Amino acid sequence: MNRRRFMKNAMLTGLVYGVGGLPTFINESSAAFQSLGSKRVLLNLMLEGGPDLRHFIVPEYSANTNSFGYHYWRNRTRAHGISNTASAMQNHWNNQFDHRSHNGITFGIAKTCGWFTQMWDAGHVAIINNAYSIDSRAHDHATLVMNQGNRNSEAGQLNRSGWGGRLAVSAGENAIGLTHIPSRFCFGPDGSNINAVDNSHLISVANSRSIGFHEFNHAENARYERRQDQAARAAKSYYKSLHAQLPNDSIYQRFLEHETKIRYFGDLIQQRLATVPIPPRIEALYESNVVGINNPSALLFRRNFGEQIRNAYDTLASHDLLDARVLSMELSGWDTHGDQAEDINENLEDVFGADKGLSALWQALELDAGTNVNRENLVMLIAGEFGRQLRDNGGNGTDHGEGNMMFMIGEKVTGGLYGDLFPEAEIDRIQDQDISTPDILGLTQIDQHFGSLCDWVVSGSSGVVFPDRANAQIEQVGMFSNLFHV
Amino acid sequence: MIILVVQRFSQWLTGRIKHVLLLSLMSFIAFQTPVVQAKLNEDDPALSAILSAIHLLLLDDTPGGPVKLGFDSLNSHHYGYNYGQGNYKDGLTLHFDAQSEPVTICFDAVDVQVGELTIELNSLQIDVLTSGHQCLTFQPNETHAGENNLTFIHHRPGERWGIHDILHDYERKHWLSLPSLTENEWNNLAVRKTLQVFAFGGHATDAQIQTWADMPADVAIKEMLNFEPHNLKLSPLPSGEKYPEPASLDGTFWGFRTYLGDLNSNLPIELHAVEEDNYERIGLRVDNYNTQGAWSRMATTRGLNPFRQKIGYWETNYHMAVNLDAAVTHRQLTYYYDTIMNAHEAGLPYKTVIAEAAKSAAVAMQYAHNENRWVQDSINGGYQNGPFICECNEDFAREIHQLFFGILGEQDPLGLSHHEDVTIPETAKALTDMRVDYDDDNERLPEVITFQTEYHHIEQVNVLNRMINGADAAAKIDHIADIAIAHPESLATLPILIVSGLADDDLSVDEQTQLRAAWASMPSKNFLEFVQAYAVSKLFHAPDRVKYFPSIDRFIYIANKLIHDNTEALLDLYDIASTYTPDRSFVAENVEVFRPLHNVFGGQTGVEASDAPVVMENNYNRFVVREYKQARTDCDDCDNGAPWLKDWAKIIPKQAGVYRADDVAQWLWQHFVGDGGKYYGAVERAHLVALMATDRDLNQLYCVQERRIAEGIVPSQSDINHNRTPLELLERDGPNPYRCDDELSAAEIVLLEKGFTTAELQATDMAALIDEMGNRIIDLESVDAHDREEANREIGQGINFILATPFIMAEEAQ
Repeated sequence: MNRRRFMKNAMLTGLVYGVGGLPTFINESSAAFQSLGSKRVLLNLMLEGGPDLRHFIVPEYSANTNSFGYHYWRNRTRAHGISNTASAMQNHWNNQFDHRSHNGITFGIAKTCGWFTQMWDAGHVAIINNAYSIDSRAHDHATLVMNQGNRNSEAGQLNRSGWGGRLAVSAGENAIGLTHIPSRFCFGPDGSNINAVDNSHLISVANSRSIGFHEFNHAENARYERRQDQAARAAKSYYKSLHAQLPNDSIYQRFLEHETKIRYFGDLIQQRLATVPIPPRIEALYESNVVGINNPSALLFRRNFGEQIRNAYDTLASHDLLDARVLSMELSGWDTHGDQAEDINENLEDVFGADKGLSALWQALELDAGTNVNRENLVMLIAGEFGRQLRDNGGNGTDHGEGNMMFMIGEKVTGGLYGDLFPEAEIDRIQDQDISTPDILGLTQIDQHFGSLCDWVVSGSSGVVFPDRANAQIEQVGMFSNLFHV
Repeated sequence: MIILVVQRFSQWLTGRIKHVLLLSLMSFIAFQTPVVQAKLNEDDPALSAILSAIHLLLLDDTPGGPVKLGFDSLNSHHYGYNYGQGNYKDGLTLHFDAQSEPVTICFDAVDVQVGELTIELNSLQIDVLTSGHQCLTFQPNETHAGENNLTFIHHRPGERWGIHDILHDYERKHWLSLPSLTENEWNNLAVRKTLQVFAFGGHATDAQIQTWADMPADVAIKEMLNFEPHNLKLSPLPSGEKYPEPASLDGTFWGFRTYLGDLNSNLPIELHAVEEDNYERIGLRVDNYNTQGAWSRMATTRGLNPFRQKIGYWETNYHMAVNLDAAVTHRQLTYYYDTIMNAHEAGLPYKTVIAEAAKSAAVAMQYAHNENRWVQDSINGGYQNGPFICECNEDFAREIHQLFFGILGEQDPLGLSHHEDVTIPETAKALTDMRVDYDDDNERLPEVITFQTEYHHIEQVNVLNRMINGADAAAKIDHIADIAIAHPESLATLPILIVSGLADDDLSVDEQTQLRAAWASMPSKNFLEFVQAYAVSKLFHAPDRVKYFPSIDRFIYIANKLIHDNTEALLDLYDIASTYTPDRSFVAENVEVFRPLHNVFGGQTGVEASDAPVVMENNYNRFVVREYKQARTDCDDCDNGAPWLKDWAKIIPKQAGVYRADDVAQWLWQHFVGDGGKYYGAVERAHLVALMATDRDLNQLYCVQERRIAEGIVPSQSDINHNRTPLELLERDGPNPYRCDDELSAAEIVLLEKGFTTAELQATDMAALIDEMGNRIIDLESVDAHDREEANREIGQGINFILATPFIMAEEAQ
């Protein structure tokens, strides 16, 4: 019986408790960082707020008034925080971006995103262009659709499964939420019904290094008067009783399920991590003065993202105990209506900077190669709920648009551009003042490339994860047939 | 008996002598008991009997006539025999008019013995009368057309009885088309549920809760939920309150922060704070950093209005959220809070409340449309000499529709793209030249917007397919509000947003339909009336309603249940809002008031909290690891240099003059969980009485008991000589070979972690043990200060147990 089945039975019977109940798994958990082996894992990073990814992957500046680069820069100076002169635009292009060409298209990658550039150069980055979920530019609705992977979801239809949950369940394994509140992306389907939720395959690892309940310490032999121990014994005993007596349809059952998972997986994770120190480069993302890290700028602007990176590392270290197949992270703060240059650059650097968020995780996995981590079988998906408009606004930012870029990064990803990076048709639209909110037209819907990704992670899974894929729009039929190389 | 004696004595007397004697007796009683008149209708049987006898002898015996009941009108008179007005020695007849729908006649009966009175409807007996609050329900086919007679026939002439507070009304009343609870359904538990959801539990006394339960629901709810800055029924000052000022000073957020930050205010400020230049106190001022701390105190301080704070918190953290992590200043936020709540208090239509919020400096700073200007283009036409353009962002132009009014544009008759490409950019034009310019004189940003026209798009704009006029942005916002509040999407969304945000995480399609109908039925949308009508409706009290508590709601609710007076609230003794303790409550669960988790999309929702295992984990550990916080009993000098002592005797009622552990446990469960005892069973009782009546937990006692049995240990001769009870034998430190707390064996560990079934606890040995614990007296009134302190600490340990259960994480209807 694997842990998943064990958990299912245990949750039904309330058996997952105390000493003596889990000897096999506790012994397993004493091992060090475990290899992914042949198991493929998805790490999904949702950029909440509608990220302007055209801000960090930009066209080459050109003085040619018929060129894409000319119109892009003429309409984006405020968002980039530069003056509206040709020299300023040229200098910005020259100095702030690493220049790359692909199939005759020249583009720049912001220099603050050094790791992204490295991964591009290594051929590990797929840039999917003109991608979108639905035509709504409302954050909550578009985010819901992105997380649920369900274009039929209406605003406020919260009780539907997430596509990450469906993918994990299709493998018979678990989705792991690394955020404080698990994303709806991780919510599992209720049987074959994707429009209902069953979270028995969802495990929350919001703080991998402290997960668990305070327990009465048998070894310390504390005296009975010690009130913490009294409280711990009473609470633990009481929850055991509740498992047996609380009706199955009680609204409080979800808390008992949390209690079961925290107690069980908390123990396992803590025992595993006792032999797995936090890599200093990762710890330095959210803590100051880490031994061995002398770079004070290692800290992220958003430390919570650093803690998620640690959770991701720890979950990969414990993936065998958790039956982890899908990992979920989030980073907010991308809704840059104003002062975009300042806000978005911080976020971009946190995510893509050299030695920053994803870079630190990637390096840590490589450094741990001696412990048999198989980085080849990890793929990262990075996307927001929608894009932004082609022209910047009066607040030095950009307003909501439809299409956007989405990224897949991994050693088995076939690097390159998928879809037209800078569609020529945008030139007319950006100049047409009758179009008040020109944006990137969505040409490829998420079902298409997310479906291909699902099939790589779990062979043949796209049919159940994205059952409506055949009706989803795609810029060019067959464009994702080689998205991954085995 | 007293009546009979006086009656017989009076038969021996005649005329003037009788009257002189009785008048003397009456004067004597009145002199001896100055409160007699005031207590005339109270239930002191002996005194009542004497007075009744006097009444009987002195007044004539003419029977009282029938009483006509108005419809939907409370008759608060008192009728009966030797009770209230009139002489209804043989009974009372009530006349009432039939209605086309089922009706109820509700009343309170006093001093009625079994079989003393029967009840007839139109001469047919239908029931017997009992004491207490009760309602009779009549179907239309059970009554006659026109006037009907409800008669109470008294079968024991001479004995006292009475009824009062009679209400004739529809059984199934509707308010704003929502079906209201019947009088029978509106009870103590319904009141508690209402307060739990809409007022962070409120601060009302048990007596006040019962008073509301005895009132008609639609009357009670107006006392419970209103927007006055001070609601002294919902938030009374306890007897002997040392810090009563909040009940009379300016009750706005601004006023309260001024009181908190004024060094001359009467406050229980901690001594060390004075030594540190009053750092914490000054931090609570309107300009300073601790806006969360000030608000948390306002929600827990007695003499204010926790319902007002609940709605203020919801409006500013969820519905029309702004964020101190954006550019909003503390001063602007405080003013914003009051702008909304003062508009609510004034009873303004909801469109006006929303418009006032939309015109605030806080919202302008949040979305940065204070920078929006209608100017000549500086890009395509050279420097400021091209065509006029909107130098704007579209952020609030979108969200005023979506978040404030619930309009996504999906029902735009010209399509969603029209909403995106026309309504939103046009709204951005309307929101131009709203200035929040830095005030150099006062060196701060102002809390109000200056609406100017120099850079305003003066012309009308096309918003929601209507032409919007207005000389400046303020006028245009008002016009947009007029249109938006009646927009079909808003009519469909706003009532759901309100109810799901405040009270129900599982609205059915049918319930949503009813709520929309109720909202639509108001020509001018009144938020308070809608909430009041909903709070006494069958929808809110439907068995399948559930509300998961967001972390902040749970913390404030728990604080309100722990706190007894303003010393505890103002000092933040339970570390709800503390800004410096490392394990402070809000931060531990990744929430902060006025820093909503999803920025303008609002704070952590109840569903999110319930979906997050770490929230449950934190709550559990808080009441286990940091048990000492809730069990805190004293401080040496925190109260302005004076000590503070916890005293649960102030609010826990005694039963039969004592604090039995069983009674206290049951009261605490109801006080904190408020479920009417639904989840209070044998297991809960056993754990609670063990923690509060012994210095042990149930499992430790059980372990010792089982080990003694297993080893065949029997009471010693000394135990027998001292009549030691089974519980006392388990509690003995020595000579007791099995204390289950030292060098634990595997068997002992199993016993210490055992979960009990109800059947196990009802087995003879355990049942006797638990009964013995339940019958112990908790020494809350001991003359010994140490014993009192211990008693309070043990109650704190019981509270920790309750708060670690899942029942504190969510609330369900009756």
